[in-house]
Amino acid sequence: MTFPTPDGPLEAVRGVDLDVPSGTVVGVVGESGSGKSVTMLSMLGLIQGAQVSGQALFEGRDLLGMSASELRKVRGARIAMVFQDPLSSLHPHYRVGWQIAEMIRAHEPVSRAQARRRAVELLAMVGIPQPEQRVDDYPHQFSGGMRQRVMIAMALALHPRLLIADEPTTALDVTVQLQILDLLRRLQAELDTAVIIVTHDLGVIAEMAQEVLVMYAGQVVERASRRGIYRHPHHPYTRGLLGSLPARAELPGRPHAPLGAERGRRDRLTPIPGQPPSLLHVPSGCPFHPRCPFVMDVCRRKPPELRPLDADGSHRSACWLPVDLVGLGPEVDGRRQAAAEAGRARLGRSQEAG
Amino acid sequence: MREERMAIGEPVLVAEETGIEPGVVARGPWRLAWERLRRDRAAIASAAFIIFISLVAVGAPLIAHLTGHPPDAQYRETGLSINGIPVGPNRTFLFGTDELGRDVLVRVAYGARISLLVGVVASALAVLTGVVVGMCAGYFGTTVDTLLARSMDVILSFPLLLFAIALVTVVGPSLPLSVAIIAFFSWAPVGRVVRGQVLSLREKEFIEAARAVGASDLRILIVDILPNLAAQIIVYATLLVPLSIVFEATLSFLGLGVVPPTPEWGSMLAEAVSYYQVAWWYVAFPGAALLFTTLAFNILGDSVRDAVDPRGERMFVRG
Amino acid sequence: MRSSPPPAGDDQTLLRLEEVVKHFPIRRGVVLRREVGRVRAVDGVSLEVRRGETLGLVGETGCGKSTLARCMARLHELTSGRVVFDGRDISRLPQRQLRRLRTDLQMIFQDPYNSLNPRRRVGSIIGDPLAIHGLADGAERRRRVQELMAQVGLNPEHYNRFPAEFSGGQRQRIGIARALALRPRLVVCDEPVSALDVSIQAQILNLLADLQGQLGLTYVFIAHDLSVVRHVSTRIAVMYLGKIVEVAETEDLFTRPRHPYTCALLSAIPIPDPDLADRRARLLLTGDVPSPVNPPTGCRFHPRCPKARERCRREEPRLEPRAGDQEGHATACHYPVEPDEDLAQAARVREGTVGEVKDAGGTHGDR
Repeated sequence: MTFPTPDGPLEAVRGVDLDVPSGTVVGVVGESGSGKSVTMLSMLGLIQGAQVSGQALFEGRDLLGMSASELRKVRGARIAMVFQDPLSSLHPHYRVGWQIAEMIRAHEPVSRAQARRRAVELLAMVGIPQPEQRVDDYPHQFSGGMRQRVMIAMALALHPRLLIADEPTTALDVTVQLQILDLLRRLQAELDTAVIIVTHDLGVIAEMAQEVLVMYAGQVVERASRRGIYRHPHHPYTRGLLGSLPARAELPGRPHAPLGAERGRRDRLTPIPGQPPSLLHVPSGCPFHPRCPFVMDVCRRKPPELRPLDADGSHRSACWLPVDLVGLGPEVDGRRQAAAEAGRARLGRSQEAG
Repeated sequence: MREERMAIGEPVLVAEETGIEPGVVARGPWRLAWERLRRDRAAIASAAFIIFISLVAVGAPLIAHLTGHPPDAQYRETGLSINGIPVGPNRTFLFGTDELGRDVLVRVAYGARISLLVGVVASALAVLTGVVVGMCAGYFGTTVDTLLARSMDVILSFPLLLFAIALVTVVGPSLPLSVAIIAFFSWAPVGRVVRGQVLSLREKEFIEAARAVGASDLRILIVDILPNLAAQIIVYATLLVPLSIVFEATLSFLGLGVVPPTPEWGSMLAEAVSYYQVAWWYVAFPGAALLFTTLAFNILGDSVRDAVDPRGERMFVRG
Repeated sequence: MRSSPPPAGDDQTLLRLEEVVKHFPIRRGVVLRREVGRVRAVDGVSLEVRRGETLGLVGETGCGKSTLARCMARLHELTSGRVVFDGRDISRLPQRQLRRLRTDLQMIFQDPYNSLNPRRRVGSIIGDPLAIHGLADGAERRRRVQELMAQVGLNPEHYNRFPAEFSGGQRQRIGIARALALRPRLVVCDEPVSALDVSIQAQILNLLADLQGQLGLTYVFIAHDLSVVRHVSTRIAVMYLGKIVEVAETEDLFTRPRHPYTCALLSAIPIPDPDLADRRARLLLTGDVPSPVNPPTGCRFHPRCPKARERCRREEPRLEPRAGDQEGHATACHYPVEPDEDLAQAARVREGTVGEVKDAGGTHGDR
């Protein structure tokens, strides 16, 4: 997806393949500028002014090819979205019960009274106390966590097949986040909804997702199951992200959590040097190559495709390093280093290693 | 959708965590505004006209010299017809003459001086006062603010014209008085706007940061707040000029401004009204001069506002 | 980033807070502004910051940590209480002396996009402290600023650029450079990395650690992200609704939390490890944090506490050491959590009022 800007075309999304089997939870993780939110919004036709190419197949039909009115029928009823800041996504001037009821009535032929009853039920389902009273409150009368619950209620009102949650808990306190994630998990299981959760928080992904996609500079750079990403990452960006986390192997104390083992805490973190690229001037070849400690010559020239690393293709990575180099730790890193050097020595130049 | 603009990562393994160099341009907010302005055709045209009319104003004596007609000289033989009616544009009088046989071209040129002078000076005074008062009101808050804000409200509720008439009647018309009256009535809106801006700026973290570093209130006002007001101030100043010019012309039209026989567009128009049926040039040329000058400043002001508008500045994508 | 904490004792204490209170009055009325209530942002906090350490301050929205930070940095006037810096009472200083205090006590702010004046050049921003305190002029000032820029990892040649031309992480570095210009001894960091991406966060945390070593700084580090706080702090204080509920050395806090709120907080941290995430039991608190305008009576946490009893409603617990705890560990709770206690159990027993529990798998212990 490309946006025309006065400084030239801005390629926000540069090739994303995503498939979500029904009833599963997929996590999309990436930092700012990775294009993760934009991808989701564009699928639902919520972005103006962009040139979009490609396909987004939902239940067999291409969303990108649909007309505005067809999309409107899909949005809300079949695909629902929850955003980061409920204060800006809920209309401040209308009561929440009314908002939910209106949404229901936009898609289904029910009376006002019926819709209102549904709204009360929904509020109860998401854990809002005294729903019969609170259904008539305005958004600003709820706390952040409660507002997010209202958003979830609204999203799930019509039992959509797919729920897209864009940074649903980023603005919330950590104890409230726990409540919301717990709620999402329960509802997802009960209603068998597929969920795409988009976030930058690797902890949230670990709690929620079954499949994980890692995005960088507008494309997917790695895709794996949950364990795959955290235990056997392949792409150096994923590795770098995990290495940047202060919480990597530590866990808070008992009795509410088992203790993690090694104490890497006091050591320095291993951040990824440099900054994510501007989407106006994406580096040639692999977009991560300027920051990659294992860069090889081919990385500068040819952009790697998302290749399967194992037989069943469940783990894919867009990297030129050999497919068996997965995992964390000095041993694997050593082999990565060796591979990288081999890939560079060809031109007779020696470079700083990462 | 928002654009994302950051300095770009320089290829590679430089020092571990350094900041990077852009392949993309580094442009400060003023440069950006200037470039936007340069690209605006309307702005360029207006600016050109303003420069032109300023040159005319400055060069009015030159024009008088070239035509050989001083502004107050009355040419009853050549400038008026047998019946005493002003003569239309011809080789001697390019813009025709007025009811006393004076050269309209030269008078328009001299009139430009008054208009521009009063317009610019009055605006400058108004902006200066408004900014100072607005900053104090917005920054110091509570009692100071209440006092100043209420004064601004009082001034804004004054009946403009009545007050002007009364004052001039008592004191007698003069140029400095005109300037004072215009400035007095124009500063309050500026003050209001500035106060609003300062109120919101005051809460910004960088002001708190300045205090954390030990800056005094005065220093914060001048070094931190003022630059953030500069854009607004410039826009306001540019837009205030045409208002002042028209205000001044109105005063003169009503006989409250300059003293005759000083040439001035407003007073010329006042006289010309009686002669429009027989001397269209007497209305047309001063009128056109007033119109185009005001228009030029307005267009320029609008373009400046578009150029410095915060909406046009960079915004960042987060997450 | 941290050495083992220096022993407590007056000469080791750089900053001490004694029953610091900061209330914000809520006023109504146009002419005579009557006070109709107060936001009790900080409601009696006593704390010590020792030389060379990093004291972490954690809590959720409304707990008052930002306000407390600003009280420490004397950016707020105290409603009551004392702040003692290096033996000197700085609670009520006249302007001039307060300004000179700035050379010792500085602050780093959270928002990289709002804490720098967008209309000033970066060199001018960083050099501001030097100009204000008359420490350097002209070419000398420029030199010192560029030295600072290099020290925080910025290119000194960008001296004349505007903040908008830098990324979030770089802007935060600018803020750090500005805070360090005066060579302070204590730096209060108000959520310095919360607004940054994970990979940039790590860079900045490393930078702060390096600077602490190089310049012998003492930090007060405020954050809501417990894993970050754990990484940087020698000691941690947990705040809830304007009061400190527990304070201890970092590892001690994480291995043996005594206060139920601390336990809840710790159990809520998302863990970026799927196996551990699956296996752990969580303590879910119901409801949201109450407003600091009307805090609950007695122990402020009692409405949400799984262990709350009658006494908790009536009497406010004092922050003091409890039997069996390590040196320096203090808790404000009438019925602190015992090492073998399962809070989830306590919540079930208490029935109904508070504390939904989700027990996923229930195996405590090893990986």
